[in-house]
This record gives sequence, C-alpha cells and structure tokens, in this order.
Amino acid sequence: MSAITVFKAKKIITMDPDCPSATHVAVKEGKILSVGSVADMQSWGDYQLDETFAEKVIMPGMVEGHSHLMAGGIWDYTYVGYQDRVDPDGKFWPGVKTIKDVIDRLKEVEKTLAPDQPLVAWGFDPIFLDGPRMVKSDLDVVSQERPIAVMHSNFHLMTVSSSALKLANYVSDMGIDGIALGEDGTPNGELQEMAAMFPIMRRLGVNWREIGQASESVKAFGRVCNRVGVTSATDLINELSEEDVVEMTAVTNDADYPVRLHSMLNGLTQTPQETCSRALELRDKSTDKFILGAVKIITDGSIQGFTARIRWPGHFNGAPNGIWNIAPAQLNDLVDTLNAAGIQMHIHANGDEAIEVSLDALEAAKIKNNRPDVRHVIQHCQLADRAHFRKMKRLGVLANLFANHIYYFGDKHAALTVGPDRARRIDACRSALELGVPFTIHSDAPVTPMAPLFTAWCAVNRLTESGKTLGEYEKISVADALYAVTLGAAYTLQMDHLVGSIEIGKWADFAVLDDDPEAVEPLALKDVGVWGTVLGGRKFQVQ
Amino acid sequence: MKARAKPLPMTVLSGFLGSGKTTLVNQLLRNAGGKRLLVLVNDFGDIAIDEDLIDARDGEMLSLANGCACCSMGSDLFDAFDKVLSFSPAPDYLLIEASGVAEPQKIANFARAEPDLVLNSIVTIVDALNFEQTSLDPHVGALVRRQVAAADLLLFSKTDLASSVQIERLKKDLQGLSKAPSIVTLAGQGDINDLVFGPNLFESLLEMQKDHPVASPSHSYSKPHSHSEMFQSWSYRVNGDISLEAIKDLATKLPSDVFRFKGIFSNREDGKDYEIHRVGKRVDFKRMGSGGSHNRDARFVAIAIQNEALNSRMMDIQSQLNAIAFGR
Repeated sequence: MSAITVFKAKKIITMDPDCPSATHVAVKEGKILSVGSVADMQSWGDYQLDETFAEKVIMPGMVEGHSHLMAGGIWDYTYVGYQDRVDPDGKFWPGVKTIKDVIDRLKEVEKTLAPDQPLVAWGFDPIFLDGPRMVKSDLDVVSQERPIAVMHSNFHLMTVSSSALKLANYVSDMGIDGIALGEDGTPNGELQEMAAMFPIMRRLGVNWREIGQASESVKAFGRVCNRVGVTSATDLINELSEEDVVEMTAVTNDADYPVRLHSMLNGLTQTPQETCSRALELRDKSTDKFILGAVKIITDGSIQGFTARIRWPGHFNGAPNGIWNIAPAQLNDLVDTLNAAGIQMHIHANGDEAIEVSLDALEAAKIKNNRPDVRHVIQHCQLADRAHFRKMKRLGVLANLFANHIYYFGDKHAALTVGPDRARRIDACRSALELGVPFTIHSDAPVTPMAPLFTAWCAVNRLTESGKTLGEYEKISVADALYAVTLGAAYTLQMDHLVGSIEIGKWADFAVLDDDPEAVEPLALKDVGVWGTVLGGRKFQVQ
Repeated sequence: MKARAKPLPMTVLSGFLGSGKTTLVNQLLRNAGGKRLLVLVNDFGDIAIDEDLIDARDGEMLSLANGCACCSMGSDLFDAFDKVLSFSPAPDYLLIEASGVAEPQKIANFARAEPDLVLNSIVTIVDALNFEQTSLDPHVGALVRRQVAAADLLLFSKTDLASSVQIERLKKDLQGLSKAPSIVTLAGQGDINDLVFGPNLFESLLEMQKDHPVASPSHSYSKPHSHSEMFQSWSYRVNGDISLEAIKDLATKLPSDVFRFKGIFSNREDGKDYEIHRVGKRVDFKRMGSGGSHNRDARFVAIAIQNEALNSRMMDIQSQLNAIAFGR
C-alpha cells in the first residue's frame, strides 16, 4: 500500500493564489504533498487514488476562532430553543415555537429519566414566543415531583418548577434580587443571574465546569466541529489545571479525535507574572492537536446583556453603562507583562469603550516592547469604529468579529442596545478589510451555533432574524468571507503556516462540501451541505 | 452536595484597586482568634495575602478569577462557591475579597439566595487619598461610587496620608451616596474582626436560649451588652409568633446607627421558623431548615456603633416587639 493518497474532487478551493482551484490533492504523512491536476500527482511516485470526494468540493478545513467546549457538553441537557439545531450526534432538534412545544418535549424526555434524575433543558428564549411568559406551573404539568430547570439561551436566566424551587427554600417572597415573583407574591419560577440560579443548580448537580471540560464534553465538541467542516477550533477560556491538561491531551491526541483544539488560559485567575509563567509552561506542552500557550482576557460583558462598556452617548434605551472584568489600569499591567514575554493575547472587548481601553493597553505595551513574533487579537470587537481599525492596523492587532450577532441580535441592537445608526457598524468586516486589519468571524458557540458557512453568510448578507439588512456598506464578498473562516482565522491563531489553506507542506485538513460555496447564490451559502472533514489526511464523515 | 448544619456567614470586602483590601484581609487573618476564616480572593493585585498567616492561623484561602458575578457564564464563580460550601472542616466565616471592579451587591446576592450561606455584610474600603480622583475617572468613576452605595459599612484607608480638609470633603461627598456608618480611622483598630464580621450574633441568640431553656408564656426581656469600645449591642426575647410584615417594618425603621439586627422567630402566617437580618439598610429573611427550632420564643440582637443617645431608643424596641407578638 502506497504511503501517498491522492484525493480527487469536483473542485478543490485552496486559498492559495498561485493555484486557486484544483482537482487533485496528494497527502503523505498527514501533510499536503501536491496540489493541482491529476498530471501534477504523478511526480511523487505510486499513490492510492481515493475517489470518495469525486463529486464533492474540498476546501481548507474551516477554523472556528472563538468557541467554547461547552458547545459539546451542553447537549447532555434537552434543547428547547426557538431555532432548529442539530446535536453533536446528528439528531435534528426542531425549534420550539410555543410553550406547549416546550412542555411536550419535556414530557417526552421526562419518561426516559431515572427516578432521581433532575430534568434540565437549555436554549429557551421567551422573546420569540407569543403569549404569557413560561412559569413554574407550566413546568409542574410535566412532573410534580421531579425538579425541572430550563436554562434560557443567554445563560443568564432560568425557569424552574415548584419542586425545584422547594429544594432551595424559594417558597415565599424573601426580597432577593433575581427571584421573580408571580401575582400571588410567591416566586414564579423565573430566576435571574447566577446568584439566584446557583442554589438550584447546585442542588440539581448541574456543574458548569463539568459541562465544559469533562472528557465526554471534549469529545462531543469534536463532533460539533466535524458536522460543520471545522478542523481547528478554539476553547476560548479555560483554567487549564494540570489534571485537565493531561486529560485533554489524551482525548485530543487520539487518532479518532477530529479537530485541532486551541485552549486559551484564563488570564484573570492569577497575577500577571503567574499567568505569564503558566502560559509559557503550557506552550511547551502543545501537541499537533492540542495547542496551548495563548491567554484569554475578558474586559467587558456583552452588548445584548447591556454589560458591554459603551462610549458616549451610551445605550440607546438609556440603560446604564456595562461592567469591567478588569480595571483599565490592571489591564495595562497584564498586557504589558504578557506582551513582553511574547505571549499571544485574545482580548474580549465588545463595546467601543472596552475596545478603546484594550487598544490603549496594547499600544503602551508595544511602545515598550516590540514583539513582531506575536499577534494579539481583539475578540468580538463588535462596536469598533473606523478609527479603531486604523489604530489596529498601526499596532498590528487583529480582529475576530462576531458576525453571527448580525442575525441573532441585530434587530435588538437596532431597537434597544445601540440604536439603528451605531448598529450599522456592528461587526464591520468591510471596514476591517479596507483598513488592512487581518480578521476572522466567529460563532462564540454555544452562544450561537457553530457553523462557519452560516457565519460567512452573516458577513456576506448582513440579514437580521427579522430579515432587515444591517449596515449595507459592511457586507463582504463570499470569497472574502470564505478566506475569513479559513486562512483569516488561522492567522489569528498564529497557525497560518500550518492550516487554513491547501498548500504543500501544510497539514491535510479539509472541509468536504456537497456544493461549491463560491458558485452558489450568496443567500444560499449557509445551506451548503457538509459531508465531513479530513484531518491530517484521515477522513471523518459526519455520523 | 453536602448541606451545612447552619448557614455560613459571608462578608464581601469591596474597594477599588490599591484601597487596602489585602492589607485588611491580612489583619483579619492575624486576629482570627481561633475562628476558621475562609478567604475567597477575587483580586490579584501586587500585594499578596501573607502566606505565613494562612499557614499559621486558622485561615484558608481559595482563589477565584477576576470578573463580575453578573456577566460571565460563571463557571469559575460557581465552582468557587461549590468548593466553599463543601470545604472540610467547615469554616466559621467566609470573606470574599472582591475584585477592584466588582459590583459587591452582585456577589452578595449569592449569600442572599443560597440557603447554606447568609450575608453578613458588604464592607467597602474607601481610599481617602485617591477616592475623589478615581470617582471622576471616565472608565471606573461610576463603579467606585456604586461600591460605596452598596456598602453596609465603610472603612477609610490612607487617612494618615490625606489632609483633614480632604477627609471632611470626602465624608460629605459620601453622605450623598451612602447611609452606611463609616469608620474613619481604620489604622490601629484592635477589634477590627468584630467590626467586619460582627460578634457572632447567632451564638448570642443561642446563649439567650441557655439562660432560659424553657419558654414561659409571660416571659420577655431585653438587655444591653457592651462588647468593646467601638460598638454596643442589645438582645431581646419575646414569647409568641410574629408576622413577617410587622417585623420587617420594625427592622426597616431601626435607627441608621444600627448596622446589624438579627433574629429568629415563628411566622404567624405559616407557622414556620424564620431568620431575619438587617445589615445596613437591607432587611433579609430566610426560612430556617429543619432542626432550627428555637422553642417558640422569638429572639433578636441588635448592634450599633457606640453612641450614648441610642440606648433609650434601643431599649424601647422591646415594647415594640411585645406589641407585635401574638402569644400562643
């Protein structure tokens, strides 16, 4: 059996301008040996021809530059969201359109549970459902005895049954923030924010950390990636304890694991100096499929949660300014320390004030220490204006724009958070492109579902959930969007020399599609089917 | 999940960067006096907790990532509280050193909601030298003012470095933000632990039970105590059930110098046992778990900053309590 495999495809999109499209790609030792026509394949000697993809389109394996492991583990719970979704094992979950749909689904699942098991669901979004809000009595219909908790899609709210309320002694009005009351003055089952949710979750044994990090979650995350053509993905915040690193190394290094996982160390858990040493230590533990060494820093909150830091004139609906997770002075210190050591930073900044403060910190750090070997990234970067992009260009700072927001939250941004005018520039891909800021686009899964072709569709069409166009000018071409989800993302992970395009010497990581995303109507981009992926030359068909 | 026999009192220590939170934590650990103090650190400044104190004394320390309780998906915070509540041996007090940018009331909400925790107080340290300037900062000004507004007790630091004019101006400014009692001379306070944690009021209540193990229908009394030079306390006992609304009203109207009020009673409406706490201006209720029976006598303790004028008003609380109790 030859050591060389040649994959034949209807079309191979390479992202390499020297050979933008091809029909054959040769793979040896997990790497790309040759790209071109069948004639080009001959020069390396004997090969095995694999025609599995003869009627398919191959493109570089897509790279999700901002996602969380929880996207896998969350499926341990029952999905009750408004939009249709597919779970890691390929089961299609139609969106729920009414409270009755929610109850019907819960009733079905309830039958399958062991007697002492709580019923936990996620993804619920009351703003899409007409009529009164779901309360405890709706859930009590499912079961009087079994505690039931329904997490809302934003993870900031949950609605629970009477039996769940009783577990935490939430039986009368105790004047506690976040425990909503019904007309009778007793808690109605809706709990707001972690403080009010914690006592219930603790008693139901719902542990966030385990949802994210247990081996089974890491495996489920791999299946989530595989379904949407992703071969490199980020786990964009992790405490990365030694114990977890050992476990995750074992899971990811299994030949059956379908994705290269980039785990970023939480930069807000230790002093800057300690974070610095730990990141350097982790960098040395990297393997080909588990890449460590970068640091995540969260500055502000989220725009839809009104917790982003927004500059004057503030929130459109008058809500107070958002929150800091780190004081600007501390951020300066941390950024300086990590930059000096050559550690890559992924800085979460949604609002324009947070972006500004982050760029100021990066500027000061770069004046002190020029580190051309490291590229820092502003993550989300949603409200950046053109002056911010010019400054990013000047500083060599990259952007990862949250394009899925345009669809999922765009209407809300126009109506409530920042108003119709500032909403036009949300996730401004064209400005980034024009002003020379290398960028990618992301899903922040599980906040929105991972699917880079959908994310590209958002950046190309800029349509909101209600069908309005948000910021005509900021649309980009399909070609630019496909670049953003492949080589663009690889660049933000400092991996563009190894993944993101189909070029000789790079890892043989491919996405295999049913149609040609360059040829379909831009509005159909999100509907292009995914056969699966190839990772290091090994085929992973979606199961 | 391991439930605690009685709720763990939690104090949130808030204050902007450099206000002296860590210095105070070290001081509290040094004076722990045999009490097991669990410190949850949410801030990573330049000055670390003195490791010697952690080893040598009764304190323990857990760390928690910087960040706001309200916004992150909260896996770290969730984990931290889970660890705290299953900590063995169980601590006597929990002290959370909040991050310099934390909204302390959001952390405090964990203790208000969780049956195994009880909110002791929110203590905010005000940097007398720098507060004025920080409060004008475009990025964090509003935040530091909210930290003051959320406090049940304000402690001033760096008063030796600030001028008396500056301190007076600051005090006046803060009066517009907060009604909480403030202690100006933090440096050299001997009984700082009593001030931050309060003398153990729950124990005081149990003490009262020891004095009078059997409730007698006619019996009720109140008595003043003197704890230290800094504050004084009063305890009350009354026979009968009390309505939630009536005691809430009484607690709310206590003089503002009273920074703690705590009691256990049977609720007239549902016959269940409840705890009531007032810290600063905030009144909380909690239904007591099983085993919290208190022999049907309602008992209360109040504590205030030393103030001679307060005594007669506080002695009068007994008759107010008698008036709202319904004998059984």
